[in-house]
Amino acid sequence: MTTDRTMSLMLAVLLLAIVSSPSIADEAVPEAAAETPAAETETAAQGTTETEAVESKDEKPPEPPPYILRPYRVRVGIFVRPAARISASGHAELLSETTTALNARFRQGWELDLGDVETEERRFARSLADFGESAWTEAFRTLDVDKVILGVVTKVGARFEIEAREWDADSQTAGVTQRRHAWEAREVPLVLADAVGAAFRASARLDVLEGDEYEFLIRGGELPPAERSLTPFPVGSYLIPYLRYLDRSRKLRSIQRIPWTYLQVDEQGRHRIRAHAVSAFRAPIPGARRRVEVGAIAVRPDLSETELTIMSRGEARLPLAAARVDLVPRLPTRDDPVEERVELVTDRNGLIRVPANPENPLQFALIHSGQALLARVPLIPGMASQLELEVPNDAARLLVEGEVSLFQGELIDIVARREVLMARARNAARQNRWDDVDQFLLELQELPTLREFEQRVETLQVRAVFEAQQAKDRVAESRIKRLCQSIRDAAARNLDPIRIQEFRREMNELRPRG
Amino acid sequence: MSRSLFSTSYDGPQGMRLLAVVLLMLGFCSFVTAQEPDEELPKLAEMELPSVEDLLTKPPRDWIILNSDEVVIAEPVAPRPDTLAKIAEMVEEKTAARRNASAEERETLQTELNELQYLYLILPDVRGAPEVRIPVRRVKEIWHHEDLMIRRADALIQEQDLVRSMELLNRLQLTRPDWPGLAEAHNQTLRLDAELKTGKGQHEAALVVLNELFRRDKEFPNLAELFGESIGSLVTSALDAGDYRRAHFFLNDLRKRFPDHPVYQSHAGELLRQAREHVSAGQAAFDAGEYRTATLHAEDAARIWPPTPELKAFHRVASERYQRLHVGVLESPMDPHVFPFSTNAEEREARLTTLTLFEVDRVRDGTAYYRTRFFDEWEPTDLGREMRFTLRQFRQPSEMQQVLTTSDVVRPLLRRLDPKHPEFDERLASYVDSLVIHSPSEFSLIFHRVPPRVEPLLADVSLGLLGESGGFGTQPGFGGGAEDTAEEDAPSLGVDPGGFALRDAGERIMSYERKLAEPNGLPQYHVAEVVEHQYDGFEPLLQGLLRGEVSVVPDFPDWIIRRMQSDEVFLRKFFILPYAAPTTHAIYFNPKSRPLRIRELRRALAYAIDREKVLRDVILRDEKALHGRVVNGPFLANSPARNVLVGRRPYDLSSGLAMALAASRQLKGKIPKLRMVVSPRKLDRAALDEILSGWKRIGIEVEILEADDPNPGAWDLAYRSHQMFEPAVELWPALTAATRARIADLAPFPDWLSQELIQLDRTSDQSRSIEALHSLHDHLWTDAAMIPLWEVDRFIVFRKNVRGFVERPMHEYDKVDRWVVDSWYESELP
Repeated sequence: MTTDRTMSLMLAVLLLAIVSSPSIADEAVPEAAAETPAAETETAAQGTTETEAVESKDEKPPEPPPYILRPYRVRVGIFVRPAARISASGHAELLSETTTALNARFRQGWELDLGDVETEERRFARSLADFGESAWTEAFRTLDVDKVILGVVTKVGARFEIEAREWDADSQTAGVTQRRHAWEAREVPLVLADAVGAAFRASARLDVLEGDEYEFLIRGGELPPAERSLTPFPVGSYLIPYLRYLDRSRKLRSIQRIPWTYLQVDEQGRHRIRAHAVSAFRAPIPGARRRVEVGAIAVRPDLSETELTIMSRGEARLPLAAARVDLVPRLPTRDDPVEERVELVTDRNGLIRVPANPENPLQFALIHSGQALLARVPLIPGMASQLELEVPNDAARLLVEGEVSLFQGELIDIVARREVLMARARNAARQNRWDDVDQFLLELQELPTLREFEQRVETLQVRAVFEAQQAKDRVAESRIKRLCQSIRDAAARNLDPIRIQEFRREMNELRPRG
Repeated sequence: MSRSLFSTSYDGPQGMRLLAVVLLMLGFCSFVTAQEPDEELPKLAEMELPSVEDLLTKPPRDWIILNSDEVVIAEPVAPRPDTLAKIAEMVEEKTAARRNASAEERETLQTELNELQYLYLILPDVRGAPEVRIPVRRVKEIWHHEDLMIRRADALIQEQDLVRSMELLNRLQLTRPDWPGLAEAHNQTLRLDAELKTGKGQHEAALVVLNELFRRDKEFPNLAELFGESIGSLVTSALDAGDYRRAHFFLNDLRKRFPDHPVYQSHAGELLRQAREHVSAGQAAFDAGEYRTATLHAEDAARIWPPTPELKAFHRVASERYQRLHVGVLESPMDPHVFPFSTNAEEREARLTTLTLFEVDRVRDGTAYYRTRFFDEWEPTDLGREMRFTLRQFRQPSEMQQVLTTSDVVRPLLRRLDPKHPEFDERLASYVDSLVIHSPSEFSLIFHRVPPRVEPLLADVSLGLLGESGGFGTQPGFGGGAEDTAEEDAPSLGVDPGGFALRDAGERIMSYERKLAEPNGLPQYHVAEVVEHQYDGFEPLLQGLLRGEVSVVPDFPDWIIRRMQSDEVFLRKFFILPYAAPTTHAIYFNPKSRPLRIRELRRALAYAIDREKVLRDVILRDEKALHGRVVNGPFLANSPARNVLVGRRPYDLSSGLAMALAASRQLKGKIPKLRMVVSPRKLDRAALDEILSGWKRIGIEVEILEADDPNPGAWDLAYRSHQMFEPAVELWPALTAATRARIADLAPFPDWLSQELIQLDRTSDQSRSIEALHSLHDHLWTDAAMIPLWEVDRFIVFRKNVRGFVERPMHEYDKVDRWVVDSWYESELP
């Protein structure tokens, strides 16, 4: 929750950032911009109050280089399995050549420390994909590096299998495992360098927030890689934002991920990008505050699919089984209902497997429950192996939907039977079969009346609304009332008692006197 | 054909001429005007017998043959038959009476005697129908019209014109059955008929005629030879076809008529010799320990010649050591069909060949209780989160299951938990967290969600070997994928769990043999082989049971059961036992059928079935419907799952029509022709015909898919009969028309119904599960998600040489390994 004080601080920071930082337009002249952004950004990041200035004066940490000139301190650990059958000399050569290849690619952008895996790294290297992010963070957060990348070389048959996975200290996240292969030993260093390079995810930090537009500074943006293809954050690529909460000494206190929010790069500068947010929330990313940094890390949807688990909110947190999930490339509107959609159904564990789509990485998942839309979230399949989504518990409303559906069926049944009985009674009256007419009138009288119908709907509504109120779900409450009202209206239209009365009068008029 | 003056025609001018001739010849007819003789009376030798047509269609005429061999044709004379003899008798009587009569009486008697000297005739076709008389003494013989018919019939028999001869004799039989000579003539006709039929090779038909002849005249000449010829041929052909019973029947028939008939002696001797050969061979096989071969020889000997003296003792020894149970059925699991579910025959086979971890032991108040062949104990711990199973370490020699180790039991369980395996069971996997093996005889299932009852979850976990008959490879719904996996797993096959295995699959006979044979030295042996004999209908099946071809019939229709129950003679030979639970009949809808997603159409179908009538008139054929009742749920009528507030949907064609109209509006004005599948069970088909006619009346056309339908998967409705003991577990697959509960199958259902089924599935508490079932029952009924029809009590019939069975069996082969078949065969010839 944002207090007035923090708001004012944030505004101050923003104002400073807006006034001092160069815009994308300024980057048309990179030479002129090269000097200023770092200092300005640091100013914005460090805060402005007098008290903090005093505190920082006491601690006096060593001045880091400006963010956009700050290279990544990258630790690359290589684990060559015995199955790879690489000799000692070949092993040394492998390390050396891989170092050379990486340095050639990332140049000053990386402060590379490449070597054999150490004890802790070895544990992870045995099975890169099996350890979760928390395990990586637990193992490596104390290291004084920005990235830990573990590369594994093994041989299956005649083929060298190469894997690499990266852990990022700033976001404390682990990327997906990159897999390559080579047929000859001499290719291994280059392929390994490829895998390590592919595993690397560049970072950025929020600089300017203007409405829905975000400008980020690129870490080491002024230290570009050798190849243009390695330049981070090309236009159209995606980032995941996160918030870094710092303590007074500007040490990291915690990291908060911003769920179901992605940033898509609209413009790319040398050390600055402009992006817009795609999120399940209206204002997903707050501006940077005094002790809050907004970071972002590149997204690499390299997996073939993502397992999305949908849970029902509440104490039990039950998986939402058999829920219909539509995957659409853009949000449907009244004018554009988006026909091209993939329909999936969650399994017993509330899980669906969302396939990656290289052509259109960002998808929207629309989670339905009956006629209601429970959630609408963006996601990039292939970015992570597993995601979890919580949705409101819709049980009470769905129950009402079912009951209302059955009421509708009954209503149709009653109306149809009434019409048939009336027709048969008229026919009998024409043929002077008045005993039959009386029988039909009796059957008409026994059909459920509007009053009975309304009472049943009322009972249903009271019970369901109570449940929704207990769950403090106002949306569900309102939907329940709407559903009940709809069936009440339909009943009132179709079970008008006057119609029966008129029919009785009609029969009485036709009936012979005496 | 030209005819002479004295032809057999009595018409017009010829008749006139005949009259004149008669008058001339007689010359003493005082009251007839004399006429010029122009012709003479015809001689008998010149006469032709009247034709069949004349005899049958024209007025009857008698031939009066004079001493001169001349013939006078007249209208039938009286008295008849034996007119002359009767006249003579009357003359004698009156003559005797005259001796003791008074004078007045004597005069009267004399007058009468005078009259009796003449035979009074009416000449045909003479105007005024004049009566003439001929002195009796001049009459040599009278051939009455009836005699002429017999004579003509004899002539026809000589000409082998059987049809016309029978025509004449039958007419005579109708009018004068007592006419002298008629019976002989009839017998001759029968003889000729039999000879003709025998000549044509129609021995059975000839035998029918001969039987009639035998009934009429046991002493008829050459009758034994005629019988011998026909029966000899019939016996030979029956033996050639291997139909010994038929041969026995004819031989016994012959023996009863002619005890020492050479044909009987010859065949009986030959059959006795063959039977003795089998007894000898069987004895040798038995001594060599080949018990099945010995039993087969014993059965063969009993089939070839039951009266074989030494057979009885050998049959007892052999057939009680290796017991073969003969079961009569109508449907075979091999029958082709398009029914997407297991047929009754397939289920029956599965119960023999597939052993499951748990099976329903009994049903009390609609609740199923389970038993197991494999566990000594299964105890929940950790508040039900762990279920520890202890495997049995021993088995009785008679039990058909093997003693298993944990690996044998765990392997099929793991298959159920492996999402990539065709046997994957989503529901079980959703409960089970892990599986822990403690020892070769103990393992635990750890649940992350406690199931209300564990037995229903594991009840269909079969322990069949992979790829083997009876293993999962033969289970419906797994398809080719199972075979692939079976090949993969083949090297790691475990211990055979036991049960029965298919041994022979003939065209009309299938046999299943116990996998684990009982060892020697037991005081009592049990069923070693089940032989199913397929029949074409219920009546032939009943005949088979009565003849002793089969000893058990698991499924008779109710009207035959009631007939048996009221037959004391039958009950002396057979047991009629009710099954522990009735069978429920219901119509299910294919969730993929688009038209039937319209609720109004489903309701229309439901309204238009007169369930009471079909149950009463077709299924039971019993006005009182003692063994059946209309139901409103797919489960047992006394199941706790039943919501008592759910009413009955009346048979109401008006409502059905109204709903059909409402549905047709949603279907753009026309309801498409629906396609229906039904099990091959004959009784179900009969009920369906009645249901279809009701639907037709409200304008809904439904066609039945036959076995050769090119698109069997595209069905809309299914008529099923089943037993649903665990609605909480079985309702979901029943609705989705699948073998197991799978989330993916719920896609066509509305979300509220899907979620209700899922919530029911997730409920761990038994009482909440019942509550959920009540709600679901109400909703399914209102939604017409299926059409429950009726439930029927079924019965199984055992010949009394079978014992050891359960008094209230759950199914056809309930604890079949405990059944004992005592030696019995029909020793009397039929």
